[in-house]
Amino acid sequence: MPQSPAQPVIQLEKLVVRYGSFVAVDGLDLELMPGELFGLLGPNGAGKSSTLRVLIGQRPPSSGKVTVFGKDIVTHWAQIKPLFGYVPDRENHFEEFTGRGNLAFFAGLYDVPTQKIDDCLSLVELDEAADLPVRGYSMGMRRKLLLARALLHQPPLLYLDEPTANLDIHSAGVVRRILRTLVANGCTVLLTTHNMDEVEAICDRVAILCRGRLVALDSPLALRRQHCERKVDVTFTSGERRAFDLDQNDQRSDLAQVVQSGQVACLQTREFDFHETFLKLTGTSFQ
Amino acid sequence: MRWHIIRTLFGKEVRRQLANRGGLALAALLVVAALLLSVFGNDGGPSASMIGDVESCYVDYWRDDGWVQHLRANVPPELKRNVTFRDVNHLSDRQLPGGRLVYPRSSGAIQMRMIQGDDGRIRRRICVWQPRVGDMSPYETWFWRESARYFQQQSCRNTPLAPDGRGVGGEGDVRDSELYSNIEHEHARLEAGVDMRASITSGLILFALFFSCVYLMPSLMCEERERGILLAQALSPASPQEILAAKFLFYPPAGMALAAILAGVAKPAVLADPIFWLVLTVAAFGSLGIGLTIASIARSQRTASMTALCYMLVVALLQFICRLGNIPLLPYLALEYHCPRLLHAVLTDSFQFYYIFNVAMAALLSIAWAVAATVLFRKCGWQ
Repeated sequence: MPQSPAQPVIQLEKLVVRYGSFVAVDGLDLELMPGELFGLLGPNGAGKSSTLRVLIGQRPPSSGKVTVFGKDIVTHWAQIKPLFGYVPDRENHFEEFTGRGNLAFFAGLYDVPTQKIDDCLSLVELDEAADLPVRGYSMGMRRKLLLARALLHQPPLLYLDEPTANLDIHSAGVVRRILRTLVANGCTVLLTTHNMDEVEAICDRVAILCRGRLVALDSPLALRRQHCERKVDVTFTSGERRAFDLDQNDQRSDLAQVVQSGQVACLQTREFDFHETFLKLTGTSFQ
Repeated sequence: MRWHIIRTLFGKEVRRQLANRGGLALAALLVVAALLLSVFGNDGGPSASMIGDVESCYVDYWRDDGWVQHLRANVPPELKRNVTFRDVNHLSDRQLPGGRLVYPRSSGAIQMRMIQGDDGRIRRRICVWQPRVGDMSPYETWFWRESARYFQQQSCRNTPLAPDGRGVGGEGDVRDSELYSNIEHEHARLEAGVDMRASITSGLILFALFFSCVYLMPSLMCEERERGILLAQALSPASPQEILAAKFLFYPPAGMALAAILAGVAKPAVLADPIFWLVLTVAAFGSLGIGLTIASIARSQRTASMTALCYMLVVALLQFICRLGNIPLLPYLALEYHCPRLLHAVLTDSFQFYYIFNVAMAALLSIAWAVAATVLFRKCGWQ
């Protein structure tokens, strides 16, 4: 590892990204510690992609400072570049090459032994389709190949943009398992996603962005505690549904009456809903 | 520059081209066309218009009088490089094989002959030798305009005429105003003006370079950028310089190899000519600059293909308009003006010293394109 465990792997200080007069990221402060699986959440236009663009060197910060492994991203870009792997949100393979051919090309660039190609292919369960042209791959296979490519040179830092999009349940599970294994081995992972369940299941910490600003930063567990919703969803025998807030006396009494009336078909507690929390924090809606 | 990265990037280009069946088919078609031309094309053949007007005009005279001096002093700048005055009486035996005046390919001549009529009077006969009707029109226009001006000046002087036709003012001073009315004028066709086969071969060679460097390279590069593959390469340890170097190492040599095959099929001996390789290198380097400029500007594969096509059409049209309108200097700014002439000259063994100008201009233009392309690519091309 190029950095001691105490030092943050990524440090954003008052990061501002502007596109003309539009401010995409507005004074973002963030630190990612080694061996952390960090989720970056936010609605469309929140600044997640702009932050990621700065981190992968596609765009210089308009102002503020970004350091990766203690090195300034602008002045030490050449040294930072080989230290991370990147899984983009859309696949970018050579269609005419096989899966193995695609990895062999990048293995050549990173100067890694060919044995590593087979290891990565079997890690993402693509070893059987390795010698087929990528043009015949499904979307899920293409995304898994992207992950294999990003892991070829065993980077200590991994950026993932929607890593489980278009993956079936099994493949998504495989990817999550790989990410947890990587983190357990000391790799730092930063992922952006819209999948709340995924964030809740695998992320160590979560940052929620809205309109370029940080609105929440904590572990999913801490967010659960902070934004706990003691609600009960009731489905009546007539098919009608209603939510009762246990923190309000009148609704608690109403719930007791409803239960006693025998008209309840189903009753479900709702202690924490990441979707609701996200919407509440970002003040927006998916609709 | 790291060798393992260059090697990997170069290998990628090779594998992508081998998988590109359309490109391979077109390359094969070009070779087949060259073979057909070689088998069925007649040596020499009718003149063609691909190379354009005659490259040089010889003004051959038998007496260096005031008329010749006036013409010599009044060659317009745009023709100065192309017009050569020669006193036939002082030509060497090599220049007069068998006692005949022989002109190189792509050239024409205005012969200012002196003939004696039955009445003993000296008359002039102007013979215009040209590969094709109209090829000499810029030179003829100049010749007759300046001749008329000269004789107008002479008529004002009203010099008395000596019995032998010489002016009393001295040797060679002719009362030209009278002579002007006795000028005979004829046109004659030079054999084997512009070699059709060499012209087509030059066109095929240039198309091979265009196809490789101006069409294929920008098209595939923009496809890589459009689909994010170029970004993936840029995020790898490969630097923009290394990505560029691999393309420089692949596309121009690939175009040159195809061009050499085409030239070799048409005329194998040309492969041993260092000037052919010099011209080919300059043309390939220039094509690469043009291609890389297009690749840096165009945002998508479709735009790149369209831009390459538009470039070819615009340059061809400009050349055509400049030729029709006798527009000076502007054609010199196009690589496509110099390279066909040079290739034709090399393929027909008529490379003259004055072609050095075309070589120098082509090299300058190639360097200019390469610099522009490199600056643009570094600025915005790889992202």
